[in-house]
Amino acid sequence: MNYDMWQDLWVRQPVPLPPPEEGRLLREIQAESEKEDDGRRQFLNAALCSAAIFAVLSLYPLIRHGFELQDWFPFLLWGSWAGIGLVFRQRRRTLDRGYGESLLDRIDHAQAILRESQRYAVWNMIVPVLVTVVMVAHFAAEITEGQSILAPVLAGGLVLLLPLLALPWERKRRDKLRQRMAELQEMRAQLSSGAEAK
Amino acid sequence: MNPGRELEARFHAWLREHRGIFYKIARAHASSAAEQEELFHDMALQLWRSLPAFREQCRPVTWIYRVCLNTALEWRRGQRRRRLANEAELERVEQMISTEPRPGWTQEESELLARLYAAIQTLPDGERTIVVLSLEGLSYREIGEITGLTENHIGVVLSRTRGKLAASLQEVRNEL
Repeated sequence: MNYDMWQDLWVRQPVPLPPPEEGRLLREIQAESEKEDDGRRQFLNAALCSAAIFAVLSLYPLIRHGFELQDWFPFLLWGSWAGIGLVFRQRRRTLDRGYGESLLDRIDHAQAILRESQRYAVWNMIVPVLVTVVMVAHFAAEITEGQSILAPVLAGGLVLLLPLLALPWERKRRDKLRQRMAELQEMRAQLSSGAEAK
Repeated sequence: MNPGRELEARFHAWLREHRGIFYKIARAHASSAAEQEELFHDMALQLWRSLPAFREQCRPVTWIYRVCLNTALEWRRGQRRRRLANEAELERVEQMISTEPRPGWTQEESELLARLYAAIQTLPDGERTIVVLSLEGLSYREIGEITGLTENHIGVVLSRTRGKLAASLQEVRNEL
């Protein structure tokens, strides 16, 4: 039996799936999509609530005793994070336009997204450190003889606490990313067997 | 027709017209009937999700092959993590034994097809993807469009894979 005969057998094979119960299938699919949308909505709500709380906490000193330079540090922090978010959002859009639709392109695209997300995570950690350095430097310059340096150090420590608290979660996330990268690498190698893609 | 209804109608039509693709890819990648159903469902879900991204830059059937194969490859990664190797082997053996005749087919044809699927399942992912597309009757150019590989490479892989399949299926012929 040669390959053509196997191919003939393949092409002639009956497809035993009953005509798909499309209504049911579509309902299930839509239910799953809705579940995902709900998850996304909940995440967005939580993010908006935290942003509102942080905004109120940041604005409170301003309202209480008027403008003072140190009151702007929280804004510097949140502003930098938002800025980085916007820059990476733009980079992601450019990235999405740069790949084709074949299986290899999809794998390459997924790898590029993972690399970009690693970069994003690094920048998210760098920002609070930079803001803390600026803040501590500012306070240190203001300190006159007899004043304690404890306050700026504590304030800096509090800002640094944010990324430190996120460290275990970040480590888990990075492990997952590495695992996913390795899987994609393996998929690519399996699919192309070392050949050059188009 | 509103865009949502239009997508729904297209989804129905594609699923009806190309369910053979779903079925064959599911059977080439999953051993048991339950797994095949799960994979079929995943492929349908992915097709539904990817529909808004379809820009008609390629034929619908090329798009469907891409979505289904990509989902099947991803699904196998997940399966490998979830299941113990010996369980998979056990189910593969069960599947190889289960060769109930299908309507309009002889017992021998059903058995041969089951053996063909079993032989395909032993291939690495890359070879399996290419051989399934080749058995579907797609040209090298069309396989290249779906996978992103060069025609030259596809030819080399296919020739190697045909050799492997011929060897393992020859044993089957001798057994029958």
